[in-house]
Amino acid sequence: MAILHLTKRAQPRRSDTKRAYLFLAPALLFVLLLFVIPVGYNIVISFFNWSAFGQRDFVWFENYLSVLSSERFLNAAGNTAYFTMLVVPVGVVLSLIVALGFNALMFRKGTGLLRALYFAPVVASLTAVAFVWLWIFNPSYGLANTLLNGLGLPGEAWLTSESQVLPSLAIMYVWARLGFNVIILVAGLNAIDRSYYEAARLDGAGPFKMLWSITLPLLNRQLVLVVSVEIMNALKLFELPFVATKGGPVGASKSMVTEIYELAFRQDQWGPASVYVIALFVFLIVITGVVRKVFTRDISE
Amino acid sequence: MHFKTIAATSALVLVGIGLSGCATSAPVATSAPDATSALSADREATITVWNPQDQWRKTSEFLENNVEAFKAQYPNVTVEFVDVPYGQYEARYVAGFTSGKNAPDIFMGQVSYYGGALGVAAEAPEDLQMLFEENLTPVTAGNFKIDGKWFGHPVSTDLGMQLFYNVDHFAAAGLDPANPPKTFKELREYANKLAVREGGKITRNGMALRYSGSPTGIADKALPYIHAFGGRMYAEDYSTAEGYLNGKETIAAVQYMQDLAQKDRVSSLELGSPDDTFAQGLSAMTFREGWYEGYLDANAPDVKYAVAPYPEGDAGYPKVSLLFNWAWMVNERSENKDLAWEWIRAMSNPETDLKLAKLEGYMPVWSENFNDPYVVGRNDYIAVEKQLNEGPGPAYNAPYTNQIAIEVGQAIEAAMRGADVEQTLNNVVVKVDELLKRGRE
Repeated sequence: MAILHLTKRAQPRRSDTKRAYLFLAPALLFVLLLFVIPVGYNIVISFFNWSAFGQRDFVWFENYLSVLSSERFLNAAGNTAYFTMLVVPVGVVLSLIVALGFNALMFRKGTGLLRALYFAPVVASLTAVAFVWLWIFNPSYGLANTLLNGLGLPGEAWLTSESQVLPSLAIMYVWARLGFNVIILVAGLNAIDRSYYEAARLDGAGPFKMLWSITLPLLNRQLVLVVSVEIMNALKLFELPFVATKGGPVGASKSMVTEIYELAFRQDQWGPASVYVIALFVFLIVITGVVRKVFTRDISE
Repeated sequence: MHFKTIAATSALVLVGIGLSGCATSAPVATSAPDATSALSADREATITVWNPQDQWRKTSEFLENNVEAFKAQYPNVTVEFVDVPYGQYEARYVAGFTSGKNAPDIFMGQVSYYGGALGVAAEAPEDLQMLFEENLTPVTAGNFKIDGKWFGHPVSTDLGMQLFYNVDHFAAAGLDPANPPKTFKELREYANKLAVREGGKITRNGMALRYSGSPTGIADKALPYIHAFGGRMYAEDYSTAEGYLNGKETIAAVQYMQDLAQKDRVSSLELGSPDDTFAQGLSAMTFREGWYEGYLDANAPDVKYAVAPYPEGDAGYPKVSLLFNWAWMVNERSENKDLAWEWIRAMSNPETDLKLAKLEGYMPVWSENFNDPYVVGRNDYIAVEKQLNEGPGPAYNAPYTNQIAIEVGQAIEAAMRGADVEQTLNNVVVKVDELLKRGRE
């Protein structure tokens, strides 16, 4: 009987471990100060009737019960989820189309300028974006309705309509984020070995087949990154409704983060605000984990 | 083993930090100077003044350079102005006041919230109580007091809504521009004649309604309707909104607003804000405060408009009632509280008040300035005169009035869009009563 001698894996020396922690210490300190402690403090506050100016009464799970069963929470959560479901597929697909376009451009001259133009909105703050689009979407003199009227179509209510407000905010958001995602996807596309396409072409594969069988699988990591980042950013929707719509009309654009701001800074109700924070945090973790699990593929084959 | 130790230690640290913040105490109070000690002219200090109003930036520059009496008396005291962007002022104020050291000494804020709810604003000293009581216009005085005590110098009295109407639209509709509507019944009739509808859509408002944007703004614009019909937001003693916000008078007022939009179809919920649409000639009538005159003159010089007093409702003329009671206040916990009140004393005079009013285009605060040609010569003076003669209306100074206004504004917004008025107001009464209760605690 053959005896298998398993080589004992070498254990790291204690001095190596200490050195590793020393190198990590500054970063760990930042994580501790800027993440762990605030999250922990937030959890503590969620069990209190907490005012920034004095009152601190322990109320057990009262905040959780009142917030999670409230219409206000369901409205904000629903709006946030709906907004995310709008912007992520649209934003990612549009980014992919534009990235494929850049990648396919025969003449490389001028693509730098085009890329810069696509990236420009990313540099602007979302607050500035909101102000610009407030003007574009103004029902009486905005550019959007002026163009529609010019085409013989009636103007729309845009941000002043309950049914149109979230799609309008989605347009603003996708416009602002498109360039960033394009840059990531273009980098991913540039890294794909051209020989795969050559081989596929020789085998008689058409453009769609190549896209489906080569491009998308080899772009998987970048796509998962883009989708994950977009989901996280969309769930944290704040600046656009805060500036452009104040959460209206009739609460139709209130998001989880605008409600956190409202409860904490306008109503001095830090306990319920903390519950919103925790709910959003848990949701973010779960969704991000699910996305990575479902969409990440082993591309070795 | 190492990981477990680190995790356990971190958890203990977190709990410790969390519990250390749980003491039922206010932020550390800085020691205020003895009230009886005289202020030395040699005193060296820096006092900071925070101004959060984007539309009143000239005020900061003016006060920085023109409070000469204070500079002469305290040459070694520096007064630093900080303009805080309006969009983030609530967060900045919370961060500043809770930090203690980074709080302003003087700040512009709403009396009911910062003085009443949060308790960070100081009550004015006795001499200023008398000065303000004797000299500031009584029409709006009640809005700047808590339990009868002044908490700061009002920034502007902003005497409430007036009727702005487009003279050309009146003439084109066969209406006499010299004879604007004087009652709500007439307003509705005029609006029907002035509205323009094309293809089922309103293309010109007969009467512009504030139907979107900040809910507090919606509530503010709805209050005169509510008062004209004899309603109010909540009881005078802040005990409840039941029977007031959902009383038959308030319901009638909000129903009137809904009817303008839904039944009569003279007010569009799509054209845009009243300020914009009136300036563009897309609204024939709108309600706005007197400052709107300056806005129109600067931005819409081609619009021929006139100003008339607010119409009368079933309960008569809706007297002046301010929802936003902005005042210059002193931080209760300021180390330089005495100096801050000295600065307030130095700027509390009719000359400074009038210069500021002219600079910013709003109404003055001192009674004697209402006889000045700046006020008497305004296009809206006929409306101003009525407001002064009619006297003060309801004062809403419950500690969480701003938050109450948000809830009320959202309810009125829903009602204008077609929600059942009585049901909507019944629902919001519950939320308002909770806020009133919080304010009493």
